[in-house]
Amino acid sequence: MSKDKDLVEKISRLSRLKIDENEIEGFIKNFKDILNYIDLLNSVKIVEDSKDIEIYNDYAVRDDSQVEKLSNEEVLLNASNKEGKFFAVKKVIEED
Amino acid sequence: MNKSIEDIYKGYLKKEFTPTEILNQYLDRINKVDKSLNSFTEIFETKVKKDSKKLDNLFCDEKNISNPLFGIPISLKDIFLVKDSICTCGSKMLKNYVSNYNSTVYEKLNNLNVLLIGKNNMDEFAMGSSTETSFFGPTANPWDQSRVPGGSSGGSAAAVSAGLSCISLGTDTGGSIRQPASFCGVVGMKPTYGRISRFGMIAFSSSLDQAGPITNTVKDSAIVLDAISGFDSKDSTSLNLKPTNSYQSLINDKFSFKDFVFGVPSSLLEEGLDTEVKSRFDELLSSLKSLGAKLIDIELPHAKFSVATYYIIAPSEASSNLSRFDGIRYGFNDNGYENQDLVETYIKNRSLGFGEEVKRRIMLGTYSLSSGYYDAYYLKAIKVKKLIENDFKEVFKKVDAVLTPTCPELPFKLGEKKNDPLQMYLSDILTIPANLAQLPAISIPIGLSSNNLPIGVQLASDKLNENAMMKMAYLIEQEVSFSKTSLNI
Repeated sequence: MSKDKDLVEKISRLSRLKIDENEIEGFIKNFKDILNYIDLLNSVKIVEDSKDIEIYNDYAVRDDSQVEKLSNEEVLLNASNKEGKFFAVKKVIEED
Repeated sequence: MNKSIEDIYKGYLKKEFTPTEILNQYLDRINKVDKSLNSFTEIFETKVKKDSKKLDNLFCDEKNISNPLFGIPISLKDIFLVKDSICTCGSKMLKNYVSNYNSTVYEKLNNLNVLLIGKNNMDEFAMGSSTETSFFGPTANPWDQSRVPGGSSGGSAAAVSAGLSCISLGTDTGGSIRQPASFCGVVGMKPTYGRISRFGMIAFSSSLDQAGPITNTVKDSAIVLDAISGFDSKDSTSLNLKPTNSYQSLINDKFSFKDFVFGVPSSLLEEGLDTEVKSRFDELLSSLKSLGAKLIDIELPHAKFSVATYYIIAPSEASSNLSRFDGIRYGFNDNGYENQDLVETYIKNRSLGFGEEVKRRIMLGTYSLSSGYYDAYYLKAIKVKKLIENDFKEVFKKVDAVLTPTCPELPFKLGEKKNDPLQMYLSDILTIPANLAQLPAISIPIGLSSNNLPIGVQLASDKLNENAMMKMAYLIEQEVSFSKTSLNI
């Protein structure tokens, strides 16, 4: 169980989330059920380098021209903390 | 109650009622019924009343009513941005988020003078099949209020079914339009991936998400599809195509069941189907045959891997898409930024702002994409997705549509699956393949169970083949003539 708990803690940190201590056990159970089910894919035979699995990404790119943008005020509209024209967060640069 | 777009449009042309009179009928009904259904997150009563007054003046001159969507009361799943109003996406994270631009689909409908009544409840960030994960409480099924309306577009389907709005737009990533449409006895349609712009629609899984109409009739579905489809330079996955003309082809072309070949993937339907769903579906197949439709048995060998494939791709993309919600630029903020470092701020805002299912999916996605697992999970899933697409490609050489029940089961009880996410995921087993293969698909009501719950059938067609799909759906709709007389709400 503690190995599972370590993994959940690692993944939650990577996800920038925290799972409450009293919810961890239920979470691990559900997570394991889902991962076991997903392992079904191991039974799919894939012929590598086959044309069958060629994947294209033919997304459109718009013209490189100026487009209408949101104003500074509009961008800051939903920010909880702002200073002047900027979003406010705790200083991230170490002082000498 | 339950007027179609055509009913209202004809009424306007004959001057039987004004836009304000129609709007008031819907608002009255919402006031009476929605306390028990909870299908709306917000009603724009003052604004929409003002809008309808404007239309009352325009409507005197017939020239102004040149499109069937004029003065139609609509609602939108609360995932579509409407400038200057709140868009919650069913989440505490966005409960105060004010949109500062319009989604393309809303912009298009607004230009056609629709009346936007409000926004519909939904599973948080469209993650769910029951509308129970909404921060704003679950929506009830109008046919039986102890049951779920399906999800994630459950508010939209419940509202259209109960006559609280004439049409609604939903979004469909793994069945989120079709499954609630089936559970609520209405028509729900997901077009080909890329048909409709996703600009201004909050992203869940970008390679699968697609908007579409939830309506009372197939014709209404066609009218809305034609109005909202077409290329949009603001969405890089938008297909460079003109809007569809499915409504015109529906009313002008001559067609019958004899023109179409339907494929039924029998082996996929051998297990797990509710007996009443199965018998109603089998009855439909017999009547289609007797009407001259050609039915053939087909194989989709990789379709059984759809749910597993989906639950790698969708959470992976969600974990990336939802990383934008940090509570700093927008979103729920716990307000203690001066005293904690940046990562702690993110963790606090996100942990308090997201609900349980959203956290689970973000973590599932982060896990599948993390170092050492990417090849085994995400890359593998992308390849299986391609194999599923190939299966359909092969099938569409022989058939015009693949026919299955929309859901393997009847609407389930509120709370029944809430603690068992895997069981909830499996209820999308028949709808997910169309998303993975990027196909258009539609759910139409075909009858009621012995305890008065709707049953739906799903038609999936080849990519970009919406016109033919609408024709087949229309023929089935006419044949079954589904009635709502036993809907008591």
